[in-house]
Amino acid sequence: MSVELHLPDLPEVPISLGAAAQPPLDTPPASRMPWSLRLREALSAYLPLLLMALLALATWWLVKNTPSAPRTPDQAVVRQDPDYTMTGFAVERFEATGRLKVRIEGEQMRHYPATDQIEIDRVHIRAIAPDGRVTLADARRALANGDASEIQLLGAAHVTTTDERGQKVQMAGEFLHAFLVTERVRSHLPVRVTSADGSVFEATGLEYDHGLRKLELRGPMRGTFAPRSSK
Amino acid sequence: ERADRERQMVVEADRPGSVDLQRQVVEFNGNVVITQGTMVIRADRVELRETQAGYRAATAIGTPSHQASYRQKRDGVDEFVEGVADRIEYDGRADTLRFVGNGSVRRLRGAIVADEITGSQIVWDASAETFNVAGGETTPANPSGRVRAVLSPRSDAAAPASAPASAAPLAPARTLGSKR
Repeated sequence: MSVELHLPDLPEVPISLGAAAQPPLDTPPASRMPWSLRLREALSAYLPLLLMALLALATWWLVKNTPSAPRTPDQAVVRQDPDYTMTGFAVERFEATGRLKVRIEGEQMRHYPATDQIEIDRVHIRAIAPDGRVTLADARRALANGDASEIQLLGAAHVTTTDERGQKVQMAGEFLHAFLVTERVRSHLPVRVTSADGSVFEATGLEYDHGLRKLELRGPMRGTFAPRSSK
Repeated sequence: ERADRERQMVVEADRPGSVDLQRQVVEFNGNVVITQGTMVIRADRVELRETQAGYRAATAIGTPSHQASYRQKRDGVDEFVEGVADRIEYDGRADTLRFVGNGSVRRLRGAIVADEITGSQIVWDASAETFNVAGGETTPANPSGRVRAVLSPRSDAAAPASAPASAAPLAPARTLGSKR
């Protein structure tokens, strides 16, 4: 519904207040153009787009067919079996100053590159702390990491640590995990500890911190103290 | 017995313990049992120290519900001495035991209790075989805090008639040291 308002000094403009859609004034009358003209019209309008599409196709084809560069073996299949073994060997590690840090002897050693671990049969280890204290360890089998700072002794393992006064503490068990750098020994299997004054402790596990000379024994334990050392 | 001191001391415990090798202090937890010859000490927590001359001193601490207990055979006589207290301190050098905290010590001849002494602090000297008991803080069990000793007469097996033994006149005393 459109209402004609006649304003004296304004050009004759019909103003519609209603919601009815009014066709825009500037559309030309819809006369049918011949299809060939409209085709040429569309073609000339979309020519650049077509060319771009063609170019895209060409590059896509190019990428598809370029030969891929030889694949760099980033994850070379790391061999699980030992890469080198030594029998009847002795390995010595020195500090930068040339001081002997640790000497490992054994019957047979296998190095596994996958985990950079060494496995040694019938091992004897001699680790010398910076201030000269010696820690001895031996076992039927040992697993040491690359720089021999951590050694797991399996099967009839013994670790003997001495302190500055030369007092020895011996630990024996089926499994001992020796951390040579921080001088700690840890075990979750039954162990027997013989301390300097001959007293023997048997427990189901231990955590020994040689720095503090403190031994934590786990679970049911028994301490056997030698009779009074008559001084 | 006196020979116990030369024997090996074995300590067993259930829960984890710790050993300080620097200060020679060993700590046991969880119903600890110390055995040395005929001496047996039971407690919940025991701290064992080694004094300089190689002697050993132990502090056995019981729980409120389960006091620390001690039992040892006397030297040469078929008698046992038993004692319980909140805390028992054993000194290897002087071979004395101090029962602290409503302690009570009994001397048993076979199964019968010959003497019984209760007090807040009792010192049993195993080598000199003397009791030394001091009263002191009043405890619910012993409101007056006084010392109480029950000494049975020496019953000679031969004399059937229970003749009153010529016990020394008992003078009431604040502290009582009886020598048997």
